[in-house]
Amino acid sequence: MDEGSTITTLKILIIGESGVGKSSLMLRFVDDVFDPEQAATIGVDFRVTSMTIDGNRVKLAIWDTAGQERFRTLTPSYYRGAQGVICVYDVTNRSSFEKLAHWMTEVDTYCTKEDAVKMLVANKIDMPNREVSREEGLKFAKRHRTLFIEASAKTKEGVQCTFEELIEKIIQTPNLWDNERPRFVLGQTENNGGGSCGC
Amino acid sequence: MDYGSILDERTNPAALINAREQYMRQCSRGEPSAVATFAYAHAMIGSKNKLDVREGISALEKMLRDEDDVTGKRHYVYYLALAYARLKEYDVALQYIDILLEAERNNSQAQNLKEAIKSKMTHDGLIGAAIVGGGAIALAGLVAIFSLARK
Repeated sequence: MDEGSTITTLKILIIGESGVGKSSLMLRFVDDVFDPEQAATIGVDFRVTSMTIDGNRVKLAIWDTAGQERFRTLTPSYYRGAQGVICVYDVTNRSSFEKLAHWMTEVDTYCTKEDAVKMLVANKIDMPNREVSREEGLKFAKRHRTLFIEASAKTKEGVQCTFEELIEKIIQTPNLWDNERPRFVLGQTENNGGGSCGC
Repeated sequence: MDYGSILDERTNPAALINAREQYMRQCSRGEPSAVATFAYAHAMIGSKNKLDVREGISALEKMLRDEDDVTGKRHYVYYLALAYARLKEYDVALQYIDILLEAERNNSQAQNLKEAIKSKMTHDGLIGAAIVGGGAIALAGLVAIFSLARK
């Protein structure tokens, strides 16, 4: 409805091992819901939402990918044009942390935008049986130059922050989105002759 | 770019050629791998060419028949619903997505696809005009297979 006033549409990708909570993070952010028995994602799912950062309204297309290898087909097309990548691991599952390097390689291989912003999310911090410390996560994030946040899709902690920080960083990198900027100036209304209107 | 609905998404032509070549190459050497077959079918159902979509559908339906694993079945059923909807065969599409929803009532991804199909039907003026034809009968057998595997 508010589409006319958004400055850009950003493509955000969520990746990581199966079962770490990628869909749960997306659904908590988009719909503010949590399903403890969230079904495994089929291939790729995407949701469109919008948010306001520093007074700028941006539209977000959030792509949630399946973690199961066998059904992750056409990987390059998921990455094409993504401005932000959220890589998730589960703090109660050590192996999901150990596979992060593999995911980072995938990002570097397939991302078409060189300065796409990466964010590492340590999910499920509400759980008692933690296997990965905050320090380890931070260290990995520093080494791979990604943003880092600890979160829980279940309790909401850190979820809003994850997206806000990521989008903010993207907006601060005009190279990533400025070329797709619509031709009107902020504060002015669209001219009626514009042919790009969706309806 | 419009991200309105997954139904409007199309496979990038280069990706389609790639997936097809990989699959054909494997076929020429014997039985193609499950990964290559799925990647091929998945690419085909996103083609702008309806004949390609049909080919993808036959591949998916064959995989569905041969698959024992529920993880595989739920993928095939979902993509079959998507493929039939792209062909505007909404009645079959709805039957496939309902198979998945019957097994996973809270699956929001499946719920969304069903909503997208229904809204396309409304858009095309087809609500209430779903025709249950021969395709539905073949499907009935699959429903039984799927629900059986869940128990």
